[in-house]
Amino acid sequence: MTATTELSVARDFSRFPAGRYLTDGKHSGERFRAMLLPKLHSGPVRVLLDGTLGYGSSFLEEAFGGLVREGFTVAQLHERLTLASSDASLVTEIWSYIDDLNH
Amino acid sequence: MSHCPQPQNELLAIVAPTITWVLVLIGWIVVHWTTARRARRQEELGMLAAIEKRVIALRDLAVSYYTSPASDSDSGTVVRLKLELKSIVGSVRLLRKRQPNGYEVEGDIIGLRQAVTGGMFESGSKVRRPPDDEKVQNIWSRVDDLLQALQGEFERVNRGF
Repeated sequence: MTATTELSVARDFSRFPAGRYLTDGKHSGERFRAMLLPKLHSGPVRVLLDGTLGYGSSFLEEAFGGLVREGFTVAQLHERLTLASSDASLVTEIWSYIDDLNH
Repeated sequence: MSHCPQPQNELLAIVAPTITWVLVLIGWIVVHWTTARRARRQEELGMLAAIEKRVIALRDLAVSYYTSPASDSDSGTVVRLKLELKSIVGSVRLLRKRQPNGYEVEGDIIGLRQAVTGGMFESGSKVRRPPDDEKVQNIWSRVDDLLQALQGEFERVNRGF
């Protein structure tokens, strides 16, 4: 069984995640997704959301909803992706972006 | 002629003060409980008022952001918007700690965050929107939804006081 990779947005990406596309800056959702994708292809990933300045929905949608557009199925993501945050609404919001793309 | 007290009167003489003390104790408990509950209600009202103030400030800042042309101050504004949202979420979490069976407004929080920071938020291609733009109207609606939900929850968990 593959070990779970832990990815902290604040520690491994940026304390200031911002924007949707690469053109919006170097800490955009699209860039974070590019960082997350190979890890998810290798096995389960636990993403830690705490420690940042905050998240915009545009970032969250692109970073996580975009995983489905990149070819992951919703079932695969539920199996491999774990989200951790002291703000439960962030986790709910992210899963809504993933699950809504199932329809 | 000697007068012997009736056994019934003796019993009453013993029980009556006890009943009095029990009634005093019950009265004290009721008053204490009511006072504590009123104080808690007042504290919650204060917390709600503070949240309402923050939510309205967030709304005003967001509306100003979307109805203004792109400028150098935008990056500062988006930081403030995200910090305000975080702060509002934290305040609601405190309310939920006080009332674990109340203030379940996660859907309204998400709706507000999506309205303020969804779409092309933090994008270099920001465009100035008119005040009656759908995006701006949506921010107003989501703010109203959250404030109504909080008020509704307050009334529900404090019913009878």
